Amino acid sequence: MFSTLQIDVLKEISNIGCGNAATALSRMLDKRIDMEIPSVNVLPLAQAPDLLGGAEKLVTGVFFQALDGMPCSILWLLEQESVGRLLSLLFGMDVHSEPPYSPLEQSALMEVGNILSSSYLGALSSFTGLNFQLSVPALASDMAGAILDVALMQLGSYSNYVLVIKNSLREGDKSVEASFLLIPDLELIQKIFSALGVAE
Amino acid sequence: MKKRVLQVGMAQFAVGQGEDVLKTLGLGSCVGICLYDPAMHLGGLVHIMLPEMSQYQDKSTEAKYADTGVRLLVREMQRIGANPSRLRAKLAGGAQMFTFSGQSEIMRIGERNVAASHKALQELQIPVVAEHTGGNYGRTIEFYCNGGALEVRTIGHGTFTI
Repeated sequence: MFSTLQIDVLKEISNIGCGNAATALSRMLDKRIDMEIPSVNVLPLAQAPDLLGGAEKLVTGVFFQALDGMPCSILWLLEQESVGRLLSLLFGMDVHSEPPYSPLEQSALMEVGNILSSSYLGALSSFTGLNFQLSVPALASDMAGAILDVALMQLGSYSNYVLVIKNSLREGDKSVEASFLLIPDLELIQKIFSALGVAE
Repeated sequence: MKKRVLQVGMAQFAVGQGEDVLKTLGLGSCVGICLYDPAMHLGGLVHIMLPEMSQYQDKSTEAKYADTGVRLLVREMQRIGANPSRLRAKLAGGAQMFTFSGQSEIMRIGERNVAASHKALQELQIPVVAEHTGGNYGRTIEFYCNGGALEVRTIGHGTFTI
């Protein structure tokens, strides 16, 4: 589907986007936040739930829709253990919550999702000159398959592939693993590649 | 006949007989349309993602859409001996997982999937005898070809047999 060069380019942009996000989070929390080099995968739609530990696994997703007709959406997914660690990090105390999360917890998670996705899209915008605008976030905790449905369904009307960026945030010995799904339609991904000079 | 558990992924379908169980994991806005012929102990399940094929570019996968998916499943079941006039339907799924203020069409897709499934079944005069649809939570379903029981499991919203 994509060439190695194209995937490398996406990886590099993801890297920069994640770096920006780590900086933004560090500033917000006034703590040093490290981020590992993300892994980037292009997967057939049907396999996406497997990457998250199966369609029935309980996960939390923060979903953004692109505005202004840009055919792209973003889904940020966290496993339950990572939600607890992230909330502990954000609130500066041990949090052992389970869904449904309190409004404060939800809003904290959505805010981090917001920072990550705007940092990532900011990097993508500055490399491609394309303008991305995202909706406000929405959050749900449920079966991975069900949460992916919404995002994949949009993608499903165009293509059968999804771009999955796995990253991990770390503060001291606390590490938060998350997957970031960028769901562009085929036309947009081609546009991105031409803007980057790596079109087929 | 040995019992089989057939897993049905997105935009896929399966047909089983006797003790076979048809299973779909984590339905969100998608709908699992189950059909059975009680006399033949035949069951079928199609996992649709979108309402109508005519509205989308991809025409390659019939099982992806409610309208073409229902027709595909009826055809396949008929091929192995089901009588369309005996078929009964059960539906599950069609949830709205995320809520945004100012609902856009795309977010109401679950509701539209359920409506399109009903419409397609009505056109073929297949009665919907039970359904567990809507809400804002995911569902895992297991459909028993022998008897046509549909088990619906959720996280935090209970387990049901319809």
